Amino acid sequence: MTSPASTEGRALRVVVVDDATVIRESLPALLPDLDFTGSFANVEAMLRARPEADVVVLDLHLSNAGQPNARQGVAAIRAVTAAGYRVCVFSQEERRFVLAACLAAGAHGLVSKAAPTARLEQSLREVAAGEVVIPPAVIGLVEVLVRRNSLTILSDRQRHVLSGRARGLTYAEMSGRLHLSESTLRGYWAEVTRNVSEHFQRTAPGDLEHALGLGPGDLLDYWPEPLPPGTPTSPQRTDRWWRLGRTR
Amino acid sequence: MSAPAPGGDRPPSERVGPTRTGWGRLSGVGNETEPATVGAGVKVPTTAAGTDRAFALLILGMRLGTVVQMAPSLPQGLSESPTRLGYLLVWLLAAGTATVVSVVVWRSGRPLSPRWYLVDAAICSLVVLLGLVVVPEQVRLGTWVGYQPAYALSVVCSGVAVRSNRAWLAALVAVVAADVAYLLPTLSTDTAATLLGNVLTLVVLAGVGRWVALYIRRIAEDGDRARAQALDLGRREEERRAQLAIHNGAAVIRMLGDPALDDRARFMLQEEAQREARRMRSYLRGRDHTDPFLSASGAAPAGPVSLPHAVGRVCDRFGDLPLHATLDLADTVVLDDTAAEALDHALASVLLNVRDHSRAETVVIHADAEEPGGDGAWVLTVHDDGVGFTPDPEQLGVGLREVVINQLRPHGMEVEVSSTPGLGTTVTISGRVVT
Repeated sequence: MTSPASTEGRALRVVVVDDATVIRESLPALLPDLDFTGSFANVEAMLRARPEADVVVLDLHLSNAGQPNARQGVAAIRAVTAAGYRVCVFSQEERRFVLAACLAAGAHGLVSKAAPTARLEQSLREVAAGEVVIPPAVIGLVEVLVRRNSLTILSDRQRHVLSGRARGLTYAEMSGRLHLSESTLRGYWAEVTRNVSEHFQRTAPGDLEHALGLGPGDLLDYWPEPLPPGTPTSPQRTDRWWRLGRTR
Repeated sequence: MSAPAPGGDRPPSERVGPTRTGWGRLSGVGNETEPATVGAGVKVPTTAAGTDRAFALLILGMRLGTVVQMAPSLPQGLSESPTRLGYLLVWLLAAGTATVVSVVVWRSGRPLSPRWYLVDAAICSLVVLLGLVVVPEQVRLGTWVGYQPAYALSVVCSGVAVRSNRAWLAALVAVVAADVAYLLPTLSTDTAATLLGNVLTLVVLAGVGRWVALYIRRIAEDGDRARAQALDLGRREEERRAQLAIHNGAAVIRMLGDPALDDRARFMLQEEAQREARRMRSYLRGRDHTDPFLSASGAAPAGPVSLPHAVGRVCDRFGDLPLHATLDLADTVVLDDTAAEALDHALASVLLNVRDHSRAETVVIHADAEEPGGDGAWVLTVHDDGVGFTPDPEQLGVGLREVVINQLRPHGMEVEVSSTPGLGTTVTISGRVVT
């Protein structure tokens, strides 16, 4: 449903969903190499229009006085991914459990609104190419899960790459230390991120709470219910996640 | 740091001022850089210069003492000498030379120079040889009328501290030869042993005296070197403490002076400036700023803290940086007060460097530790993706060298800095939990 699109010979097609008009109108100007095929204030409008897009730039907080019932948070992510789009969350959200919950809901990338424009463009291209873009805060969380045997399917090489990324090392720096080419390391990292994304989507919050040393129920305000294998995504399953903007 | 005032805690009446004249110069009294006392105990400094003063005192005492011993026999010598005028002139030459030498060493505060000692020895040899003419043969041995052997002994002993082995040996040979020539006419079976003993006295006392004098001088010079080294170490330690106290504050002040600073960064820097001002005040009051009671936090020690908590406190003060901290893996590591304070200061210095120089888009602080039951090792890395630099261990700045590396080492933390131009910088701090 959300397979990467081939952009050979044409500009990357992007749709932006953000309740802030200034974001919707400024992104095309800031990223002139991308083809913005639509901009919407909420997910519902976008899903009605069904624009062609290789990646959807999605804000997490879409509810406001003008659209109080707009779907937002992980509910919005699941709705968009269920429609077959690849989603890159573009938000000011910094809480790592919330960001991890976005991956659990099916997001393919997470980029902070504080990030430089060039990084946003790079992340969108990576998401469109089938990769999963994970921010440093969540990479650290993943390392904890691996160390505490919650995430056990990574190979030694994948663990080494994860360890380097968790410490902020670039591929060039890791290449010197691990004596592997940068492209090889990128390949390992792509496998890690796909495994992580799947693990987040399939693991019960209780298991994650246990692995992370959290109290029972600490993740309930953030985490979507896990999807059994083969279960189609349904936005109705996550209606309560409109409360995402609430602070803990 | 100032040296104690001369006289130490003695009452003002006993204190010695900085002026050095006459006896004070010889005894070391009044030397404002070295301990000195007056009254019952005159203490000559144990420095190399003080040792020279002690030798000068010894020479003065021996030479004037010999003249004093010669004086009572002068009338008898004049009456018994075949040439009264000659005896008087030779006596005056000996006494005058001894007096001049005493005055010279008193004023200079050190033994004669090799050249003047050779002159002294030559005059001595002349006095002894003239004794062949002016002293009757029967009073040359064992009397103060024939004072020449005693005078020769005082001259030989005056030369034990001369700063030339060749001058010392040449003078000894000359004086001993003159003494032998002076005594040889008295040689008989009865006097042979006494005569030989007199000559051997010159040689043995000169040799042993020379050895002891050189040994004492070597001890004093070693002491001087040790003092100079201690002084240098003290100066370096003071310099290091000043760098520790001032470095971060100077960086904060410089950054606050940047007119392009945004409001958030300015607020953060103002908070940091308050901390650094407290640290500087502690230093200026002469307190150890690494003492948690006097630390930049200004608060009493809160007891041991976890590594994530200690690092998190620093991160909170650098909220304007693109910081990402992952510290969960080290949540079992606990630091004591002083180690946590040193780490706080060092980490702040690293982040000030990042803020000031790196132009980083992402800064990742990561902590890792052995699982409980392991050897307690932990590692903290600070990585930025900024401009980087070419690290040179010999030319690290004050911040990395003193505030980070040398400040953490006493707490069992080692620091490694790796950086590549264009790729960013990684500062790795490793330690071990002390149980």
